[in-house]
Amino acid sequence: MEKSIFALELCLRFDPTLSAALTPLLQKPGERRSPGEMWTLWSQAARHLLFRKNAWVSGCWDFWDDTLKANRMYPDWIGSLLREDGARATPSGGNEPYRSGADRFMTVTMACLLIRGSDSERKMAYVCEIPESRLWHASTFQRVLEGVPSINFAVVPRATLYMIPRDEGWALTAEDMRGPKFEYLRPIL
Amino acid sequence: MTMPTNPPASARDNKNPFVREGHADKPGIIGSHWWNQELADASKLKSRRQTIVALVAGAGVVAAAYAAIVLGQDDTYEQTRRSLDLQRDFGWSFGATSETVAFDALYTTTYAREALARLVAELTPRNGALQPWFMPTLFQAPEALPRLPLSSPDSPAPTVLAAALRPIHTPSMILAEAAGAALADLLAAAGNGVALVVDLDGPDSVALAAGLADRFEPVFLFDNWPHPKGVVPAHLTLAAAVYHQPRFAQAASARSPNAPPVFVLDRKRLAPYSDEAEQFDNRWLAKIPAPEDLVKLEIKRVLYVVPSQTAPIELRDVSGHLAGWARSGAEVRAIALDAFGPAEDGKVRFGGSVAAHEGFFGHYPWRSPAPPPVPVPKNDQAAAWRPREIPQDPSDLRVGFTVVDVDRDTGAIVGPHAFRSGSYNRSSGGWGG
Repeated sequence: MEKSIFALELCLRFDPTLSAALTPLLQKPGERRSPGEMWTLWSQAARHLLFRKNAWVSGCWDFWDDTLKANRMYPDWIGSLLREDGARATPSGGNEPYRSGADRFMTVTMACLLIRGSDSERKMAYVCEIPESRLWHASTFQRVLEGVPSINFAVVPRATLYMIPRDEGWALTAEDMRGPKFEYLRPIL
Repeated sequence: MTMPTNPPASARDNKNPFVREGHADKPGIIGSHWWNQELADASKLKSRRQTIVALVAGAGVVAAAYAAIVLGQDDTYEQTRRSLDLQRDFGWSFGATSETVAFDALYTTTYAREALARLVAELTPRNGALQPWFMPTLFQAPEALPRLPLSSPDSPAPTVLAAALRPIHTPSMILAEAAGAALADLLAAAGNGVALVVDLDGPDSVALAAGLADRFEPVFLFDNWPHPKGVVPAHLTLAAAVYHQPRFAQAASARSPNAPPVFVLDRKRLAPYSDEAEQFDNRWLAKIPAPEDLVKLEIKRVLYVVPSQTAPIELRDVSGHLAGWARSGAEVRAIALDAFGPAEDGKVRFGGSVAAHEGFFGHYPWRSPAPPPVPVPKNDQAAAWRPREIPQDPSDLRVGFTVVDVDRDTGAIVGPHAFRSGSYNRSSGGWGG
């Protein structure tokens, strides 16, 4: 089975309403999901991110139609979830973005493998066909996120979606974002 | 922006082929990792066909190279996974299901297994301000069942840890508990704002916390599970906790709700790990409160309890926080467990004598007026110790991780990567995920 990989990570200024919207979706109980449920989860997450475009700070995204690359890159994308190495080990304190000016951040990451040649994979390949000069533009992230609902999860062998942090008091600090764990994120232009 | 309101027709089936193989739901991170069982099953067949094709076509250099990947690496690639997640997903004895943990029969006792169901609840701090630091991980292990099914009929079905668990009560635990009681009596005179960090071998840490439990609220930080080939003998720590469970439950109901904390660690959490073929990396890094949290908890003095004053006093994973606590104004001191011993009155006391015990505050001037210190040679260096930050070992980034083989096509975990004949390795071949 030939595969492609699509992945996207967005860093936003911490928004408690986004956290409150995504947490129940991610906490939904049950060890199994249908492709339709996965589609709903991803589409809602993409929609919430699109609605908060003015909070985007930095990000990174990938699309490769190369099986070997997909198999090698996918573990990297889920690394933060598996190792929890992007998450803080201790609270960062309360988030008071409207009062103290102390910046707090959050990240949302989605990554999946797609069966190469499927309609969904070809659609994402088209969506992700971006000139290098525009890779990190907000309009590009918007285009890519708008493409997410075109993914049919019946042709997705693996998928991950996670948010750092869950709780406001554990939001990422500016120092966290400058650290090596997030050095791959590019400022969104 | 146009957003479809319904999923594509082919995704609207009522099957549930996505299996959750990884999940985090913690203050710092939330999310899941899923694999599509339906596609994995289908591709497995294709994978075998491709393997045969590769063999037949193996005359050319390119084809030979492909065969080396597909066959030489057993059609798998390596992936590093958090050991605890592997155990939660596939059972506590992941990769060694035919083995178990052992306890020295000389020191085991009987217990009521039904009490295990209350273990987490009874060992959770009553004080809500301390609960964020409590790690229920170890206490969740006994009755935990694998979250993902065993798909290989050749692999023994994992049994629950509770079946092998026996409470232990060793001579060193008895001494540690008595030392804990002696410390509790001493520190009662030190006023409010004193906390302890106990960093002894797991069973002794638990026992010392039991001795302290009338006056100090235990906050257990054990963040691993036992494993038959575990680097850290966590089963002994768990067995000690099960032994003292009634004591902790009784003390919790009688203790002041505002009792200060004793943070409880297992000093073997960073035990040497060198042989991945013989050992399972169930090591872990301590997560103790940050300096600002210590301030919020109104802790001004910290006593760090270590086995002996032999260097190093502090382990590297806590050194930064201990130093940070000191920088933020807390007085952080160390004390050696082996400075405690039977005194002439038959009780275990600091310095092994009534006089040394009464001179405790001469070494730790947390009571005024401080008495003249009585020399306690086994504690001189510990009493003189002050926290300093020890550079982190880069290899600590790998603590608590296991390299597994993953089926290149299906993404299913085949088993631990390390190979040595015996049950530890691919005996669990065919695990989904």
